[in-house]
Amino acid sequence: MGANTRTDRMLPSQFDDKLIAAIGLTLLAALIPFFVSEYVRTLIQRCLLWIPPIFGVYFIYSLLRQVHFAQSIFIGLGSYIVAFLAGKYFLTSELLILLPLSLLACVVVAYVLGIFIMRRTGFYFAIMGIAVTMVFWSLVYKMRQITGGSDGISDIKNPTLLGIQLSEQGFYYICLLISVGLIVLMYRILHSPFSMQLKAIRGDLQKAESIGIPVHQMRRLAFVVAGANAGLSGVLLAFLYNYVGPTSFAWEFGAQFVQAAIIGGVNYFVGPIVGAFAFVGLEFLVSTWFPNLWEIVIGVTVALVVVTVGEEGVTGIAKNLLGRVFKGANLKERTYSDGK
Amino acid sequence: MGNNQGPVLLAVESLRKFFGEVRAANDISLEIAQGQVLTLVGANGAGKSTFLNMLIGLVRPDRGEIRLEGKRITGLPPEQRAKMGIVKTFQLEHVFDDMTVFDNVRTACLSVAGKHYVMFKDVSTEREINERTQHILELFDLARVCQTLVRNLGHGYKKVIDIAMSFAMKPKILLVDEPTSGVGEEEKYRIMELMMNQIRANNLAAIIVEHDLNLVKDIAKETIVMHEGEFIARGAPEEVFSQDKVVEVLVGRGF
Ligand SMILES: Nc1ncnc2c1ncn2[C@@H]1O[C@H](COP(=O)(O)OP(=O)(O)OP(=O)(O)O)[C@@H](O)[C@H]1O
Ligand SMILES: [Mg+2]
Repeated sequence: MGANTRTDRMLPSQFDDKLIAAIGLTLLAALIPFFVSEYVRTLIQRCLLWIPPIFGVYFIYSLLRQVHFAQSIFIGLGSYIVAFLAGKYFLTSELLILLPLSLLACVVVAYVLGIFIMRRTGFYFAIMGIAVTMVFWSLVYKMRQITGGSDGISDIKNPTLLGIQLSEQGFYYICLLISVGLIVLMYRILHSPFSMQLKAIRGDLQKAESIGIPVHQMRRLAFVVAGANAGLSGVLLAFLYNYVGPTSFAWEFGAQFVQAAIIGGVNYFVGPIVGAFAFVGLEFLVSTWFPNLWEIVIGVTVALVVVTVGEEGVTGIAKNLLGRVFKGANLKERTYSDGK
Repeated sequence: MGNNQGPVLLAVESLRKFFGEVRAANDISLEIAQGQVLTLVGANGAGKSTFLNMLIGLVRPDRGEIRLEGKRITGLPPEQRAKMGIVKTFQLEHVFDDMTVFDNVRTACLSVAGKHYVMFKDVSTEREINERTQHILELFDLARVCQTLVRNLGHGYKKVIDIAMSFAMKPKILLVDEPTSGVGEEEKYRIMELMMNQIRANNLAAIIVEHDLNLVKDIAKETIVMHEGEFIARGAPEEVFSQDKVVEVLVGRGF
């Protein structure tokens, strides 16, 4: 028998299929800027940068079954670090400084917040997330002298890499690289011993601690993993728009990542990716043709997804359709998150 | 005190826990030597589970001291005590329902190996862990169902899985809270035998809570009778069960 466990069981051919699909999609994303307008490219970039924070939400939900509304704190942190250091109080716009610095800031802040937020579960966890986010938002909003208040900070310089000024195209590839890199990393993390024990914690907290799992510390670190993803996106989003405003700290913004995760489908590893493109794409379409209907459209979409397919999301629907077209196609990536 | 087989492993001193008026533990003291196996009997509500839960840190005592190998563990959180070698199985079902049997035991193996923060490695590449998991599954006759989701298994299986996870922790002392409660007559003996074999093979100390007095007579040379938060008798099962005060508290209360 050996250790033929669920994760080992992945057949080589099945694995190859997925790997080929992943490489194909990455190549597609790499080639697209040559064929589309600058506007569309920016839109795709936005999708790519939404993926990591949604993955954070997905991570916390699929392993711990908690709803994480507080991702905007870390987007905001990353963004304002850029706004200060590459804008208002210009020091540097070097990505190799700003990315690690923001990462560090997010790790520290997430760890400290995790001490409080991760003590709670369910309803209380969600509400705590919103409450803490509101505190951050109002601080940024009120400290007008430093943060520019509701006007935000707009004169952000373009990013450099190793001192070399990046072209818009070059920056696109940085976004692609980081987004894909984080997806690969999250795939790793979701199949790791760390995640397996997180799943045990959500399954039975008392049993978990009585077999020696440091439940509180591990839950805090899960929060850190989620926040770190969002923080890196925050840095790049600030450079993408050369503007940062207090709305990046708004809890409603954090809630959008939750909505995107739901639309994508929390049962699938590719859910956050699908969710990012679906949400941002929908946002684009609606704002182009029916600018006043955004809240209604997104609200109805989320409600429809929840009512009709629940945790399967758009990915589940797509898989179903594809399954009918190509009989036997199995897109489902099993992580510890499933098996209900 | 009883026939100690070795140096003192676990020492409990005046442990007390009241829930309002209810005296779940009323100044309990106890010493257990390495490799010593005790059974603990008592009517429903006598305080057996509360006592074991205080030992592993799930219930905080009002007062008293607990020492493991001379080290004071009274204030330590459960996960640290488990790592130090005091581990308990649960009276009610406490397993990871939406994981496979293999992953349940594997989680315990990962934990005891201290692999909590291994984030960037696929769990399938942890060869030693996976082999040890497989080995433990075989010891407990679980290999056949190793890929089954625990939620799809019966109560008896869940009991064995709980016990297997506790063994995976490499305990020095095992606390077993009613391993056969809610299990059919035949399976009861099978579970008990699997467990006792492992306890003896590894020379573990153990406290086993058991309601079936016939089983109690088979399992261990020594038994303790608990009543309203106190140990009222201790000794060889035959002798203890013939004492009047013991008969009085056990008879007519489900025994
Ligand atoms: N958390 C709690 N809050 C209040 N009372 C409790 C609590 N836990 C236990 N008790 C009470 O303490 C007493 C001892 O309970 P305990 O579960 O330890 O008994 P037990 O000997 O394990 O019984 P059983 O054979 O039914 O498992 C009971 O009267 C119980 O109602
Ligand atoms: Mg009990």
